[in-house]
Amino acid sequence: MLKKIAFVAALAATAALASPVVAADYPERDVTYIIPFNAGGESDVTARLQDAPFRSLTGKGFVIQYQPGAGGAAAWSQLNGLSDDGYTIMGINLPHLFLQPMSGQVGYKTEDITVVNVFQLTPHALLVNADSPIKTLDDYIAAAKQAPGATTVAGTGSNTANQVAQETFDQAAGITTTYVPFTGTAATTAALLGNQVSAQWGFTTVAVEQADKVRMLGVALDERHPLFPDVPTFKEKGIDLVGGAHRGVAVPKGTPEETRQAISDIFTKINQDPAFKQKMDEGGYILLDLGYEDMDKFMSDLGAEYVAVGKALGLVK
Amino acid sequence: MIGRAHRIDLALGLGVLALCAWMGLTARGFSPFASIFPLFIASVCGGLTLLLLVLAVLGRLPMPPTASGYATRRLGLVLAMGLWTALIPFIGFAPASVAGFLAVGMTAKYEPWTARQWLLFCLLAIVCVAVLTLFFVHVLAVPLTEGSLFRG
Amino acid sequence: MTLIENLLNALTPLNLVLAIGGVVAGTVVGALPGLTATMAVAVLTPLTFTMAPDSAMIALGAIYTGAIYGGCYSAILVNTPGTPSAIATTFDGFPMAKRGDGDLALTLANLASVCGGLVGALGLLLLAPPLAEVALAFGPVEYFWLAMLGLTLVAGLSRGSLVKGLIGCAIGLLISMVGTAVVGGDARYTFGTPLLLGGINIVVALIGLFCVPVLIDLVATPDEHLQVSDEVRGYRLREALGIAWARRWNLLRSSVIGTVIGILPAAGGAIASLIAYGEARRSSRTPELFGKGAPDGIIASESANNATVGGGFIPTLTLGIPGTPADAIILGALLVHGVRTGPNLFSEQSAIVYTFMFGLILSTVLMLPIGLVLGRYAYKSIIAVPKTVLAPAIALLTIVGTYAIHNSIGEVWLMLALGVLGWVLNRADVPPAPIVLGVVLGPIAEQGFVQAWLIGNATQNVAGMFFGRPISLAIIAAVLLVLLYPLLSRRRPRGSEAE
Repeated sequence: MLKKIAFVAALAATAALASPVVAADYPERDVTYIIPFNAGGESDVTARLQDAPFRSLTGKGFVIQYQPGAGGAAAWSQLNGLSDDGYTIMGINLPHLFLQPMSGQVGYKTEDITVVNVFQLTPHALLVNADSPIKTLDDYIAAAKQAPGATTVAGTGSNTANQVAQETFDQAAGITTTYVPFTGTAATTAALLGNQVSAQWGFTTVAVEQADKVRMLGVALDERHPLFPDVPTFKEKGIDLVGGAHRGVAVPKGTPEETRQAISDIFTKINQDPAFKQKMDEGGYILLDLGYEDMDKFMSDLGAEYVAVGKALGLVK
Repeated sequence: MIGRAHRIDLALGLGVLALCAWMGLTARGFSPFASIFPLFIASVCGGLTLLLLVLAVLGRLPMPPTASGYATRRLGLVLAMGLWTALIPFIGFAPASVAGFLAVGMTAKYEPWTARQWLLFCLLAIVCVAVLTLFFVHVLAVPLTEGSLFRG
Repeated sequence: MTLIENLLNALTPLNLVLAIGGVVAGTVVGALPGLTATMAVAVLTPLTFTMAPDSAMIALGAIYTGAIYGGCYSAILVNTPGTPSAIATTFDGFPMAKRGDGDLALTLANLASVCGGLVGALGLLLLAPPLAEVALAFGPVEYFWLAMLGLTLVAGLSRGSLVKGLIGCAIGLLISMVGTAVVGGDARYTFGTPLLLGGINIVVALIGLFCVPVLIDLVATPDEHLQVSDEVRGYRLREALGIAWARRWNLLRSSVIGTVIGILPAAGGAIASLIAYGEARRSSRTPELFGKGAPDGIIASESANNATVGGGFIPTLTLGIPGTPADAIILGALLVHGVRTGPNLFSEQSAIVYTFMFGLILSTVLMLPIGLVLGRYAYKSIIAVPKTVLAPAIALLTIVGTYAIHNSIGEVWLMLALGVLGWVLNRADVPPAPIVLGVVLGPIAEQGFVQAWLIGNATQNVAGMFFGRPISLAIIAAVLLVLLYPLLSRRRPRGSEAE
C-alpha cells in the first residue's frame, strides 16, 4: 500500500517538475553543472567561481560533477540523454565542439549540442621560457625559418585550440614547427618551464599564472590585452590569428525554450557581478556577452571559420 | 599435452597471442602517431607470449595455483552480480541492490538458517543498501538512478 | 606572521577539528574499494568553500592524507587496494592477514604511513623551492622510462614468473589504449561505442581486476576469509614499534623515495610505493620472504605512498603544477579561494602556506591514534562478519563505486567483464597487480614515448633523446637491474650478501 502511494506521489512530482510553469520561477532547486574535464582544471575553476554569483542571484547553487574523457567528447556525446528539465547543464568548449566531430566518430555532431550561452574567451598566446634566447615574435619566426621543424612547441591535446593556433600561425608566417601534445595545461606548462620544448601555444591565463617565469611573445586579439600592454598582437605583426578557446554552457536538446533563455540570462548576469568580473579579469580571461538570442548566428559564423580552418590545414578530413 | 606444458599456460599463451595479433592489425588503421605505441606493445607482448610458450613446453614454468572450492558457487556469484547490474536500469539502484545483496549472500551461504537468521539477513540487506544509497546521494551528491520503470 | 604564529594558527580549535574530521573522512573513503583518494578530495572539496583559505587547505590536506592511508585497509583485509598507491601493500599485507596477523599488518601500515607522511611534509616545509626544480628536470623521456621501471618492478615483484608478470603489464597497457589517442585524436579500440570513447577508467580496472576475483573466490569455500588467532590481542603496538624500529632504514629510505617521486607531476603513489618496495626487497637479507607476509614490504609501500602527499604539494604550491591528480583538484580549490600558487606564494601569502604545512604535519600525526582506532574497528568488522554478509557488502561497494563515477551502467558491466577476465588470468598465474599498473601507467608511458619521439625527431636525434640524457640513463639502469634480478639472485648464494 505504502509503495503504491509513493509511486503515485513520484509520478505526480515528476509531472509537476516537467510543466512549463518552471521557467518563470527557475531555478527552484540546485542545478547540476557537469564539467567535461577533470576537477581542478580551468573549466572547473570557472564554474566554481560562477557559483557564488549564481547563489546571490537565484538563491540556489550549482552541484558540480565531472565527466572527463576523450577531451570532452565523452560528456558531450551523452548530453542529450540527460534530464531536460533545465536542472542539468553542461560546460562546453570551442573549438572542441567544432573540430572533434570533424575528425571522426566521436559520438556527437556539433548541431546536436544546444549551446545557450558563451561567457568567456581565453585568447591564444605564444609563450617561451623566461630564460629563452627568443625575446620577441620576430626572433621566434627567424629561429623557426632557420631550422624548419626543429622548434618544438607544446600544446594541450590534439585537434584543440592550441593546435589550431600553431597551424594557423605557421601557415600565415610561412614557418614549420613541431607540435608536441600534452594532456592538460599543467603538463604542457611544466614542459615549457623545464625547457623540454622551445615554446608553448597556450592562453593568456597561463601567462598570468606563471608571471615572471614565462615570456609572452604575442596574443591573438584585435587590441593588446589590458594586463599585458607590452605584448603585441599577432595582427600587428601581420599575422591574422585572432581567437582562442571559448567556454559556455549547453543544455540537453529537450529543454524548453523559456528555460534555455532563463539559463542564458543568468549566466549573462553572472558575468556582470563585480567580484566575479574582477577575478576573471585578473586571471587573464576575457568575458563575453553572447546569450541565447545571439547563439545561432555566433555558432554558425564561428563554425564556418573552423570548418575552413580545419579543412585547409588538413587537421580534419 | 605438449611437451611438459600445463594446459592453462598453453591457453594463456595462445589467447594472449590472438589478442596481440588482433590489436596490432587494428592499429595499422590508425593515424601514424596513434598507432606507434599499440604496435610496439602488441609486438613486445607477442614476443613475450612466444617466450612463454617455449618456457611452458620446456617445463620451466612453476605450477599455476589450483583453485579449491565449488565452481558452481563461483559461477553463481558472477551470475548474481550480472543480474544485479541488469536490474539497476529497470527497477532502480536501491531495489536492485537489495535483490543483488540477497542473491550474492545466497552464493556464500553454506549452512541452513533459522527463520530468525533469514529475517536478520533481509533486514541487513535493506539497511546496508539504504545507508550506502543515502550516503552517496545526499552526502556525496551522486545521483543513483530511480529506474526506468518508475520514470513516466 | 612569524613561524610560531603560523604554528599556533594551525592548532586553533577549528583547524584541529577540521584536521581530525578530514583525516577520519579521508580514511573512511580511501578504505572503501571503489573510492579513491582523488575521488575523496573531489567530493569533499565543495564543503570547504565556506571556510577561510587556510582552514580549507588544512581540511583538504587532512582528507588527502587520510585517503591515501585508508587505501591500506582494504588492501590488507580484502586484497583490494583502496587506491592505486596501495597496490604494493597487497603483496605482503594480505598474506599477513590470512595467516592471522592482520592486526599487526594494520598497525605497521599505520606507523609507516605516519612516518612517510612526516618525511614528505618536512620535505615540503624545509626544501620546497629547490626540490621543485627536480620536478621540471623530468621530461617526456624520463617519464617513459619511469613508467617502464614501474612496470618491470611490478612484474618482477608480483607472485609468479617474470614473463607472466610482463605479459600482465602488456595486457594492462593494451587496455589503457582503449579510447581517444592523445596524439592524433583517433578513437582506438572503441567498437564505435561512446562508453569506451573515454577509455577504461582506472577505478573500473582496479575494482574489476582486484576485487571481483577476490569475491569469486570468497564465496567458493565455507572457510573463514582470514585466519584469526585465539588469544585476544590489543593493537600490538609495542610489537609493531619494535618491528618498525628494527627496519628503520627501510622506513626512512622508502619515505624519501616517496617524497621524491611525489614531486614528479603525475607520478604519484603507485610508482613510488613500487619503487620503494623493490628497493626494500633488493637490499634485504631475506628477499625470499617478500610477497609472503614480510613486514618490510608493508613498511616500504605505506611509507612511500604517504610521503607522496607532502612531496606532491611541492610542485603544486611552488610551481602551480599539480604533483598528483588530487593536487590538481586542491589547486583548483585554492584558486577559488583566491590563493595564487606559484613563485609568489611563499613570499606574499606565506601565512596561509606555512599554516597549511603545519596543518599537514598535524594531520599526519593525528593519523596515528585515529588510524589505530579505525583500523581496529575495520579489522574487528571484517573478521566478525560472516561471509554471507561480507561478500554482498563488498559486492555492493564495488557496484556503487563503479556506478558512481559516471552514472554509467555500462561501466559496471565493464567492471564485471574485467573481473571475470582477471579471475581467469589469476588462475593462469598472471596476478592483477601488473595488469592494473599497466592501465595506470599506460597513458604516461605512451605520451612520454610519443612526445619524446616528436621532440627527438625535431632535433634529428631520436636515439640520443631516448638514451642520451643522464636521468634517463639512471632509470634505464634500474630497469635492467630489475629485469636481470631473477638471474642474478639465483647465482648469488643467499645470506652471504652483506648490506
